[in-house]
Amino acid sequence: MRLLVIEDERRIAELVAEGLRQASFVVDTVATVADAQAALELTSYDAAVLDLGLPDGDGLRLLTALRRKPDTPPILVLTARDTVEDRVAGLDAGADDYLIKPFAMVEVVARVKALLRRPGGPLGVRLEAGNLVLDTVGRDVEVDGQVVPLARQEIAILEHLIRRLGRVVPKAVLEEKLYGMGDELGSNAIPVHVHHLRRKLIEAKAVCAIHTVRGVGYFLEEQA
Amino acid sequence: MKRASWPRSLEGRLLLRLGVLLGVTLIGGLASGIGAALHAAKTLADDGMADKFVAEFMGDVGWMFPVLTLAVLVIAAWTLRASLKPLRAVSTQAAAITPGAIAVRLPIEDLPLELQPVVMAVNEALDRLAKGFETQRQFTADAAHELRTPLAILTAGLENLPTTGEIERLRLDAERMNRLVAQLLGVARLDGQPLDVSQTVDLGEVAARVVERFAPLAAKTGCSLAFEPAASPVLVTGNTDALGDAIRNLVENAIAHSPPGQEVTVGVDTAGAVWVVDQGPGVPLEDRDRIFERFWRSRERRGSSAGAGLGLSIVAEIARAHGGTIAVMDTPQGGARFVLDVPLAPSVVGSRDTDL
Repeated sequence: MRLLVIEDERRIAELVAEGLRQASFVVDTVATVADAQAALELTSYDAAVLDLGLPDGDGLRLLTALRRKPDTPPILVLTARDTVEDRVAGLDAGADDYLIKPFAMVEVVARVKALLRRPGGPLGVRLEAGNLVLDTVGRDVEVDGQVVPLARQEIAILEHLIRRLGRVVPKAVLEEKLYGMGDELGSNAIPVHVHHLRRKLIEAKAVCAIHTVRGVGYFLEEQA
Repeated sequence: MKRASWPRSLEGRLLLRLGVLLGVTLIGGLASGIGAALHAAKTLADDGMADKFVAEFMGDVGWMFPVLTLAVLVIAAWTLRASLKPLRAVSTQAAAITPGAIAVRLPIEDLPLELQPVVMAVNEALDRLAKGFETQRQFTADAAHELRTPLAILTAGLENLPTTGEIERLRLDAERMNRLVAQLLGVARLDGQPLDVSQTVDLGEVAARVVERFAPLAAKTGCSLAFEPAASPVLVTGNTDALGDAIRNLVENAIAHSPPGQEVTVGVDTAGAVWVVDQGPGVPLEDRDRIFERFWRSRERRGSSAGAGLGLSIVAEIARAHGGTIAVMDTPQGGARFVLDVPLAPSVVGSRDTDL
């Protein structure tokens, strides 16, 4: 998968590119708005990492311009700005996600993968976490190549947890998704489904675990 | 001490003086009028014309005195009220100036000429203040950028190296440095610019977002994080970002003091309080006042590399800026319970839905 890193600070560009390459992505780097536009015209990228402070123009304006075109890849914004207004401006301009410097490289890789795991993204069909693979088209789940029998609702919950791997999915969001499937939802429905799902994953020896954040929701964590 | 009876308003003073003047004129005028009339009456008495003269005097001139008096008073009051009315508008505008909304300037167009210099001087003072705030804001933003970029390079560089014991220690050092810089910038921001605490904030929502964000990090240290929402949205007057910062610092502090495997609980109650409870050793009585001071660290932690003693001072600062309080107490299990209290929004405008 090919990524574009748009960053004028040479050392950061090198390091981000290096970190992403170690995660087996193909990475191009550019340092200006003009070069970024040219690169995006010529090559089809799966995602872009954009620094907001570029020498020949504001990254936010590039973001707005890109968003108006079809087929723009998802964009992760990196910035040293951290006030609310800046964040709101970034998300309004069409950033798909946001990281504030100094960031952890693992976090950059995780966020880029999350963007690629979105429905319609290049990693959006076969979702992976540890030794677990969820096929979103075939609707089945394998651990180490062995199919794990899961109920329809359990697969739906797992899908949302994998798409936001390592980040909390609020219970209300899961309820909304299951409600959309036309199910009758008791107040206990989600905890019961998660309980069964967790037990089945442990039995299948999956190296990822579902954590409960009481009062908020759940998150899936890959285990080392 | 102020003088009790003398009127302090312009209108009151003017009316009082005019009234006195008119009174004196009236009495003087009447006295001399009556004297002249008496004198005339005496000479005319023989002719039997006195009654007729008095009747004519009252009919022609006398009635004008009270009418004139009344007219002068009415005109004076009306003129004053009309010319000072724009001052009301100025006061209303001035009341709207808060630390977060310093762009407001007072209108001078309709003011009487005498009052314009005062209002203009106030406007100029506001300009100077706004410029000062802006310089400070710009400096903090620049400093943030200048410090964060090299730190980001250092952090990412260390992460790309193969993991060894020494590299792992350096990564922890860099992480500590990152945290310290972030906190120092937070402190600088709080010191340099007044906080806009006029937003209506759902405290439960803010706390839930912090828990959401920190739960995965807590899991990495072996703790779990839980949230106990209030029964309904808790609307307070404040600053969303700053309150999030305060809760985040309390949560980070609780995680740092929690033994692995224990739960840190964050809760909100409808009185406008957020509490964070950990199962750690608790805070000894003698430290409870000092724990919120800048750079203060407990005896056990002074030699260690953990924490710079800024987090809780930031919480205290944010509580103060909101006109709220922060306190620490024991839990029956021996852990610490931090309670951040913020004033509720004066009137609950509408009712908002929450996620949970």
